[in-house]
Amino acid sequence: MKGENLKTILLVLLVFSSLLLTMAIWNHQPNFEMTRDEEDLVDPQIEAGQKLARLDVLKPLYIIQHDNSVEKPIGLSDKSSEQELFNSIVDYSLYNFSTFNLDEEWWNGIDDWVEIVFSTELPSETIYDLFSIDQGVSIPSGMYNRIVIILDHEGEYQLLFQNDPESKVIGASVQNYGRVAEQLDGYFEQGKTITYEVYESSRGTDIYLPNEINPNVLLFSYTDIPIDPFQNFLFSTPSIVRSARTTDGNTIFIDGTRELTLESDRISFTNQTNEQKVSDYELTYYELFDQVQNFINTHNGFTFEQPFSYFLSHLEITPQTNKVEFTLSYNGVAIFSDQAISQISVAWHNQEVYQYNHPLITLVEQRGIAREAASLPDAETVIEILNSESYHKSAIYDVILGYRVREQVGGQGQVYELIPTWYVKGINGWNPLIIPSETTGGDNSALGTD
Amino acid sequence: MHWGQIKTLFIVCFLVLNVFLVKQLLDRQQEEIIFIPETSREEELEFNIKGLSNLSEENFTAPLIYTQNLNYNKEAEAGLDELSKQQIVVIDDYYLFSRFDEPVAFDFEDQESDLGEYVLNGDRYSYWGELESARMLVFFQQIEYPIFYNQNAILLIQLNADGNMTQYIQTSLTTAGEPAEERSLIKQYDAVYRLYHHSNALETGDTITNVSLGYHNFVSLPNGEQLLNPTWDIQVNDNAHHFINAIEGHNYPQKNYFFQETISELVKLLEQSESDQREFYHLEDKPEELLSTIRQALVGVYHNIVEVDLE
Repeated sequence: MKGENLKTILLVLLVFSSLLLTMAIWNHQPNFEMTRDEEDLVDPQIEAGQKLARLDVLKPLYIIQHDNSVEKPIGLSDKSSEQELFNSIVDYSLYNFSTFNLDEEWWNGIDDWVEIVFSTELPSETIYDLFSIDQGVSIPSGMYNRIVIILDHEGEYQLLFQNDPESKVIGASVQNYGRVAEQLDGYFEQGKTITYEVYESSRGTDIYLPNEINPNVLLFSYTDIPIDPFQNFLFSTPSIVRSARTTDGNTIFIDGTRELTLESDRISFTNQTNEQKVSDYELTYYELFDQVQNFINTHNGFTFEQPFSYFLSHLEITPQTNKVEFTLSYNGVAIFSDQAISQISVAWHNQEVYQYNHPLITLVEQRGIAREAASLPDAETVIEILNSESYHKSAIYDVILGYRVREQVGGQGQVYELIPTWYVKGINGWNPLIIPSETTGGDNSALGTD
Repeated sequence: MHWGQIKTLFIVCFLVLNVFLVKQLLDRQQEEIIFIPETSREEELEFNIKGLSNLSEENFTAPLIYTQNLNYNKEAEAGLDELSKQQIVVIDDYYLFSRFDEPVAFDFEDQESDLGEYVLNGDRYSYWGELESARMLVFFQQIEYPIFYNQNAILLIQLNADGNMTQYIQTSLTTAGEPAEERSLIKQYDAVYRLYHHSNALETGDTITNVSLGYHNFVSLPNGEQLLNPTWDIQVNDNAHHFINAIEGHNYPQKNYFFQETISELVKLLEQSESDQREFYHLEDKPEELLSTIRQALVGVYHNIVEVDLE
């Protein structure tokens, strides 16, 4: 009997110990050392900001339809229908990707096509994001800034990803091609369209300038974005940061190695210790885009309200720097500014932020129309200007009718103006069209040169 | 089956289960250690870089230091009055230029000799090095530890051919506000690890000859306020210095033209300052004469540095 009692006690002990061990495994927490102080664990997100997926920022500047039986190419007059069209295009199922040199003779035989033009060269990996393609499908590496959908072609490839400086393209086949071509034609036949003037860029590709322009200057109210979240995520220890005012009214924050300058409507940040690119590993364009997008998303850095949005407008890798820029758009129309209040730009070195510029205002509600832009030439005049002496030696890669944003001058304040303005993309990115002196005066005067 | 046999069976089952659970728990605790640090990268460092065995294993702490420029005219007037055998000019309140009436012999090797006799707070500066072929000695101000390459915390002593002091330029920082709390610093080994893996500063075969603590600052506020960060000075092959932030571990870019830029700015100060920006102490010569003598000597130093750089 005594032996049985011992067995019972042993069994009870074993049952309890197994329960305890199970609990211990469940509750096991890795004992990593916390390197930050409690006071520095502050919420680093911008309350009014939001996250954008890669697809959300891959937006075109414009979409054009060519039909050689018609004199001029056309596009949808309403920018929101153009966005709708783009959204339907990225729903296509693509397959059979391949890279080849574009044969001029073959290309000349094509009469009817749709062209989608982007602001910057994009790496071919973004095709996975745009068209929701399975990662198992192989897409040749390369860059593109135009997508061409051929509408009257029976060949193997009906969709081309082209890059202006190169003759090599990435081709793809479209599933249900017949229906897709019909649907695309339908969009342009049923929708309200405008014609475009064609101008040859410095790279020999076509640039399209709309013939119908809306000269209305729009007024918008705005809200301020607080500086605190920026301070909290840009400095590793926000509690040690000191600040002082400069003579021109800005405030500078420092922690001994990083510097954040606060101007009335924007911030600029520099991490001085990350100036040099020293990392052995060079990022690809896609990794750069992805890392910077994640960096901005981490703190809800895309600050806008519908129908405004941000699109990827510049992607650059040089031996000195890696740069990514996102530009604000209103109903799909790009907004530029002299004071960088409509651009988020990031210089990214060694997989960390080196410089970061961000607006501190969010345009909110339209407050009506102020007036008509004082000097807004039509497409034909713009082409004349581009052919004139003033652009004789300048590279011209693209031209669009965008908005220039600025605080209303002479008004009661509290509003920003969106002024329709022609912008020319040259070696230094997008700059306002320089209108020769005989036609100047008004909104475009006093602008810098390219 | 008897109840007794069932109990035995249960005991065996639970024993096996417990052995399994204990093993699981031990494995999980092991995992923590496996990831930090990456063994292969440590091995790579130890294989390629010498002198790692001399590094201290100690856990150091140091505070961040908030500083302001010392205003010589307001905060050190009495101290300057006491200095003898020299003529002093303070420009813009913060930059002190002094010329000795006669060259002063001073034994820098001798621990007993007190630089404070000739230079305001001279004992609070530590020797850094000599500018090659310019006969200029460089001292960095110390606030507990030396403040590396800081234009506002430096003492430059010029010697003549006999090794005697002829003139010097001095700037000083003073601590501002309440002392900050002590912060724990990364270990010396980790600083070298980061220097090796996160920058291209070290090459295979390099030897770490010394690691010492100091302060470094990269950006200042417009009002002159600075935030000094504890910094490891890693000396390689007895000559090159690399600086690693001792709290965050990032490396500071090299200040290759620091002395050239500093002396050029000092010369500019002497040339461009207006008379109301200058304050003289123990003046015996004509003011313009004194400024010109100091300036000419500095220009000579500048040219010597530039020549050495070009070579």
